[in-house]
Order: sequence, then structure tokens, then C-alpha cells
Amino acid sequence: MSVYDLEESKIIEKIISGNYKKVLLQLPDGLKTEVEHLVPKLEKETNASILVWYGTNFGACDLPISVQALGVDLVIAFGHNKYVKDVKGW
Amino acid sequence: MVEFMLVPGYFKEKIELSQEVLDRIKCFKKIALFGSVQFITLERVEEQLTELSIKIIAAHGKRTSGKYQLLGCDCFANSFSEDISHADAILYIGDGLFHPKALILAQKKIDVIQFNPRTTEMSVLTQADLEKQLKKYKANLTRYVASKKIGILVSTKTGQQYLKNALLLKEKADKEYFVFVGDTFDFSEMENYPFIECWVNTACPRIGFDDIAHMPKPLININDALDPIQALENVK
Repeated sequence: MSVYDLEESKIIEKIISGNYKKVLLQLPDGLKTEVEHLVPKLEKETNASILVWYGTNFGACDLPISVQALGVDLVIAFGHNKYVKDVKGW
Repeated sequence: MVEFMLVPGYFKEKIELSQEVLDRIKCFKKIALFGSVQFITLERVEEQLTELSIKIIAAHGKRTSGKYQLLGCDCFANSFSEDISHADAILYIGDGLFHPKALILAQKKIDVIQFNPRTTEMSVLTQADLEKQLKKYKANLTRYVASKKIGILVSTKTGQQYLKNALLLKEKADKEYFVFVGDTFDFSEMENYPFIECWVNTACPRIGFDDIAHMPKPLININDALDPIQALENVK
């Protein structure tokens, strides 16, 4: 049982209602071990293939857009909220 | 088209400052309060500070969407919605060192008192804790000024793409610049370009502070590369 609210019911509802087929989970280092229970739970409750991003997740600045080439239709990025990029720089 | 859903992972338990923290901060009048996204539900902390007649400076990072929220890249004096330099103390709620370090880098004056709600432990981070890092950065700035061949690193990460700034530096034409593109930078790759004397980072600004200790060549951040003389003045 995580001490963090991972919003599992909301995620399941989103996958089912959106009929997503390939879902990628991206987690920061501190939450990576959560995949041990997240993957089987999401696979049991939905018909989607659940994949896990192996690499970094430094923030909402680091979303893995390249997975689109694998046919991933939904990325669930944990541990961050909306990030407003300043296009001019830092 | 891939869609993205962000799940912050808010801490489920109520966050309440320990007596140790209250004893430490009770002498202050104004405190800048921050937390990482998991730890920004701070109603009880607000109450506790108010009970001690402490004014809260709620200066969140400009790029964040949560009250009190701080990102690791909020490491500059102008990173926040409000000036924090007049605070008597900075109180950071969260775990790890990445975020509180940003607060030291941003103002280099006021200590950061950290409360970890998971362990209920208090710790204090001071400028002295980052002294080695800051000295190394200063040495890198000096080496940048003297270098002739520069490698500029540009990331393809969605929120860290600043090719425009890299090209702005290249346009200066005062040195020979080479622009390198990658996703997550593996710094051992630097060894494949031995002719590069100094590197400039345009991705996450924390690369310029946190990762330089073990790099084979000096590296500085893009904002300082654009005005290295001013940057050297700032670190004096």
C-alpha cells in the first residue's frame, strides 16, 4: 500500500473509457518499485498492454514522446503535475 | 497521437510539523514555504505557522501549477512568483536533497530547514553544504572563458529543448562552437570528442551544478555562457 495517492481507479476508468490499447507507465526513481503492483492490477482491470518506461523521469519536462513509434496511445506520468515551460529559457 | 496523463502522487497522510521544527522556527517573522508536488497540501502547516504569528511567503516556482510548489530547476533568484530574499528562513516540506538544494542555489544566503513528512525528521541545508559544488562551477567558468572549442549540449526532452539558445550562443562566433543533440546525456560520451575544451549545457540547469563533479571536462550552463564575465562577477 503506497503512502502516495496513485489514483489507480481514475487511471483504470481513463484506460477503459478511452479504449486505450498500449499504455506506458513512467515513474520517477522514488516511485519505480510501484510497478510491481501497478502493472498486474492495470492488466487485470483493463484490456490494455501495460508497458513501463525504463529510463529517466526528471519531471514533466521529460515526457517520452518517442514511444509513439511503438504504437503507445497513452502515457501515464507519475510524480509530477503540469509544467509551464518558458520557451525563452530558464 | 499519444496522450499524456499526469498523476502527481500526493502524499496521503496529513502533513503536520514536528515540535522540533516548531522550536526551530518560532523565532522567525517571515518564512518562505515550499514543497515538492507530493507535499503541497499544507493546510495544517499554514495553521501552525499562523499560530506562531509567522507570515508565510507563498512563492511557488513560476513554472509550477501548485501553491508552494517547487521544481528542481527553480534554482535562480528569479525562479519564483515572489522575491524570497527578504525571508527570515526557508521551510521546505519533502524528502530528498534535490529540491532543497535548488533553494540554496537560488539565493545563497538563507539556510533551508527541511521537514520530511515520511520520517518526520528535520534537517538543515546550508550554503556550506554546497560549497565544493559552487567552487567547481566557478573554476569551470574561468576555464570556459579561456577555451576556444566549445560543445553545446541540446536535449530532445520535451520541456528541456532549447536549441534556439544554443544557436544564439553559436552566433556570437567568438569561439568555435559545436552543437550536440541527445536525449538523456551520458557524460562518458564526452570522451569521444576530445577536441572539445569546455561544454555548455542548455537542458536542465541542475546538470551544471549537480553533475559536474565527475565530468572529464568543464561544463557550464547556457545562461552563464551567454555572459561569462557577469557570471564570474556573480560567483565572487
